[in-house]
Amino acid sequence: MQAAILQMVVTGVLLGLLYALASVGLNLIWGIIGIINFSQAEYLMLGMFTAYWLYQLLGLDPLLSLPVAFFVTFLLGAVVQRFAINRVLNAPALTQVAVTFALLLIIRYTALMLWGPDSRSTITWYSEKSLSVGSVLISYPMLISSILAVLSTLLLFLFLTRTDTGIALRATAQDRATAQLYGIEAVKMYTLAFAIAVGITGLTGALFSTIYWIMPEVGAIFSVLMYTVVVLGGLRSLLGCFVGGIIVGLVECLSAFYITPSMKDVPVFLLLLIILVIKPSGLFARKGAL
Amino acid sequence: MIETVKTLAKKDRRIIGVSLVIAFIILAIPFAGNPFITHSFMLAFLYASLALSWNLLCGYCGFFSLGHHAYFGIGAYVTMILMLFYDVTPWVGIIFSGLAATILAAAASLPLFRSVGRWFTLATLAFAETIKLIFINWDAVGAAKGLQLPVKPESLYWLTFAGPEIYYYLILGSLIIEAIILHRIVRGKIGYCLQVIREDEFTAMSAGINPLKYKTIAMVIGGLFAGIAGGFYTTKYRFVDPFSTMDWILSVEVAVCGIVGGLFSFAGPILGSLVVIPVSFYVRSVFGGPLGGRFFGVHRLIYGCILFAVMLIMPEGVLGWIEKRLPISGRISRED
Repeated sequence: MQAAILQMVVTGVLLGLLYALASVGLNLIWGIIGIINFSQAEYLMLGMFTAYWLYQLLGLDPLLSLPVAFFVTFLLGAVVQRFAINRVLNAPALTQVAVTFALLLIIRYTALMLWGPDSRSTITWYSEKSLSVGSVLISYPMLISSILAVLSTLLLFLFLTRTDTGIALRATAQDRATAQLYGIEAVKMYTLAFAIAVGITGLTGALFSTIYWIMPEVGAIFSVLMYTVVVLGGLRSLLGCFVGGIIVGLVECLSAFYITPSMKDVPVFLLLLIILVIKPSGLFARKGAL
Repeated sequence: MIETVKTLAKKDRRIIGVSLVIAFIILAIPFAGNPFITHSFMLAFLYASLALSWNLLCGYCGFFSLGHHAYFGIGAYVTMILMLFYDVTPWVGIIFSGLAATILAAAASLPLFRSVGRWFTLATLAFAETIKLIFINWDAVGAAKGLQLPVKPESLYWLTFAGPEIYYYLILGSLIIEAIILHRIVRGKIGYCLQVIREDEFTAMSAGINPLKYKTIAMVIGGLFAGIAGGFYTTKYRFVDPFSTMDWILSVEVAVCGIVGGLFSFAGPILGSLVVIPVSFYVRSVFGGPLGGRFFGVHRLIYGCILFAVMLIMPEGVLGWIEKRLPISGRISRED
């Protein structure tokens, strides 16, 4: 029993690290541009399919296609920001929600039309292998993906805090008008922020392609998880994203164990509702700075 | 003075004439003898009643809910359970559907209205998804398999008919009743209070309006009519499962209908449904769908494209867009 719980906790934490990376993009867009991107999980699906097709057509290991997944979604994100999001930056919340929802429908159901509703998966030499630490088994794909997730988040953190562009991004998030006075082009920064945020989510999709089913409607599963992570962690906080991701991963794994696997998302949704009711700004929300 | 009265009367006459022609066309559609067209407009009326009830909260109060399908789903389930397990006629079942959805809406509104704006949208979505997951795992009501009514002979008592014609008139009738009731509500005190809350909640409070009370009223009335629409859905399709009656795409469809028609007008959601639903129904039956079509999600892709185009080209909706360009404005829709 105790071994099983330990197993669940370890799996939950590893999964949580991946959820954290998946939600970083949502958090960035929410924090910097100020809109909730309801289509965020669709870029995760696109990242998954990028990795899948490279694996299927070229025989490339899904983890080697991480940069490709990043750049494909990065470019798409730049286009979407330029032609859609930019136009509704100052629109009422309702318009923003409707436009991002429209993008969700367009991306998800174009993918469904192209690739059909079946779920696919990738098989690599390490798919079946696992590491045993004491009584706990950790599958290799999970372990590698989580480590890469942590590394990617660290890279993003360094980019945001150590490079001029990153600092300009954070400045725009903090105070758009003042940033513009200092010669930062806000629209350019928004495009960059959106493209990077979406690219990271696409990269997470490629990471997930080794451990999850790949299907066009996978975004429906991930989107609520991602909102929960961001709401739990609070806006503009990378650390919050990690805490939120790990909490969601743990809640999911433990409730799959204690209730039933098909009910595993109910506690997550309830968690989201409870936080929205108690403290809508999130547990680790920071004002201004990222 | 007399001139204005004359022109007003003329304008009124024109509007009455146009309305009569539209009413005649709507009543005559089933007599065209094409069940496909009848069915698609029946569906449009069903969505119109959902969109109208949804718009009370969204258009009049500014709270964009994506959890409206929960009330619809509960309504569908209640009528189904009463018919299947307790042999209750759907005439009574539909009333209980409305009641159940009302109770759910009342219970949900207190926690949901703690959040505002985009957070509210998120909270309603999470709320409705939770309800759906509970139904997927609830064995007593068929869990993920859903519930299926046995085949019964045609009868008015059980609301069982082969063709869509009688359902068409039934749903149209309920839509008209709903529209009359909602119109009275939005033209009365509740409607004005809701609009004040939409414009500025603090002003509303300083004017002595209790925002939570009126938001709850809007949610509960919306839930009531959504539940009734769910009951009608069950009598027509005779099968309910969490995936067809409680999918979030339903709320998105409703929102698309409302936004396309124009949120800040009373008739907007009806017009939007009459445009969007037959188009998507046709596209779906030609290109996609589970019955052999090649392109599965094509009608949802169409929703996405319509929504995207409308939001970027005419954010005030089709009705608002037309009105801006026609001199007859002010009579059909503007409330504010």
